[in-house]
Amino acid sequence: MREPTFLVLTALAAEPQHGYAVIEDVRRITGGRVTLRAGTLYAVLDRLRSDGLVEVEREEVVQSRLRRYYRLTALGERRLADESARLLQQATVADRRLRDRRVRLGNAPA
Amino acid sequence: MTAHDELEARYRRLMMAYPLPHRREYEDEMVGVLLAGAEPGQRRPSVRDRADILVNGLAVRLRGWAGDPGDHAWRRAAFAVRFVGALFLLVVGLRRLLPGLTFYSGVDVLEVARPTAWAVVFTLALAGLRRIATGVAVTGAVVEIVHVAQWYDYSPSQVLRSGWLVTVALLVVVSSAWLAGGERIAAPRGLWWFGAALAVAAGGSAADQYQGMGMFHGFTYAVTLNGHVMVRFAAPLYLTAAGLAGWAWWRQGGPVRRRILALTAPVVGVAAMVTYGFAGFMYSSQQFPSPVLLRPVQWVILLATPVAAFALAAVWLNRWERVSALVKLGREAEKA
Repeated sequence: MREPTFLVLTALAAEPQHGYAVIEDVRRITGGRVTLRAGTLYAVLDRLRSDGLVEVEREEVVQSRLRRYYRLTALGERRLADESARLLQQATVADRRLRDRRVRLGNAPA
Repeated sequence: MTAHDELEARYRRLMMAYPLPHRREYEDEMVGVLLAGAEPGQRRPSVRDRADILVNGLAVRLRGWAGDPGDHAWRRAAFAVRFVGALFLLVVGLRRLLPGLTFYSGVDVLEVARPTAWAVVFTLALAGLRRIATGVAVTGAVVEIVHVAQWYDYSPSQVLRSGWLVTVALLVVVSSAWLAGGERIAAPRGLWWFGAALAVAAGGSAADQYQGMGMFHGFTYAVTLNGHVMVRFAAPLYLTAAGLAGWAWWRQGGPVRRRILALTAPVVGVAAMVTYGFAGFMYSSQQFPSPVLLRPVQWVILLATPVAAFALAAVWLNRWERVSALVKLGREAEKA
């Protein structure tokens, strides 16, 4: 799973959101490191919709403009959980090895 | 016109990068998002937004024309092409190398490098080391190109005749790069039948060499030599190889089968272009003591042929599958 896909699913895991709110949320989640552009966001949303991971929850018209709220489907939730577990497992290994390394280097003779 | 209106009009013009169905579905929403993220008083889309819309618009259009390159059937077809292509190039390389070793006529470094590179690609790909396999495949393709290019100055027609082989090498590179990222693909069923077909074909080639049939082009069952009829031992072997390859291809299932054909279209395209499009050049180039070389426009045609062949095959495949799906839906609706 690519990073933009993972981030969009993570944003929608909190609550159904419209496009601009997803962009803002992704910026918050990543501490400002990632700013999704509209073209990228809708490429991801289109793909996620056709794969059944995301669906439209409701539509609103705000200031004469269509606003769609997207939500995670059960399949989307499972995929995100799998990906999250995979990343967590890898991050745990990396973290443990780094701690071991620090201990080893700290104990090594100068 | 306010700055906001001007900016909106420019975003809507940029949306033309997307195909109509996508614009119908998302244009209003996307323009709303773009305007919400714009600076106050901004009149023109930022360079990043422009680039993002144009690149994604093109990607959506390409997906519409050629189907989704990430779909499972395409990746399985790419796996089959990489497997068979690398094995084929290995056999071709060995066929060239082994007589040199056997009869002590000597071999050069390139002739050793060719089968070695493809053997490594084949092994790495099977071991699942996808990125390293792609790197070695690039090296293998460079070796193939250098091996062919060294004849160019004194026999350009020989280079043209080997164009399809270089295309096979490039096809293995593209397939490997395609499979280097994303989900891993398990080896498609029945691929070893392709291996068996190649082994039998190599046996046929060895039989031809033993009988001295190398001078005869085309497929023959028997030839008359010095008044004697000689049955070609290789003929049944080639027929068996073709049968085995056909069986292996058939076993891949409809969607993968069609994609394998689309992926091999560049090789067929180059071979056909050389045979029919360059027939005059091939003949005349050999008639002069100093051979006629290819002109720039001929190079362009030669290089564009595999790309055009694949694009046409992919568009045809996508159309055909869409129409078939519609026909199937229609039939089911009639039954219901």
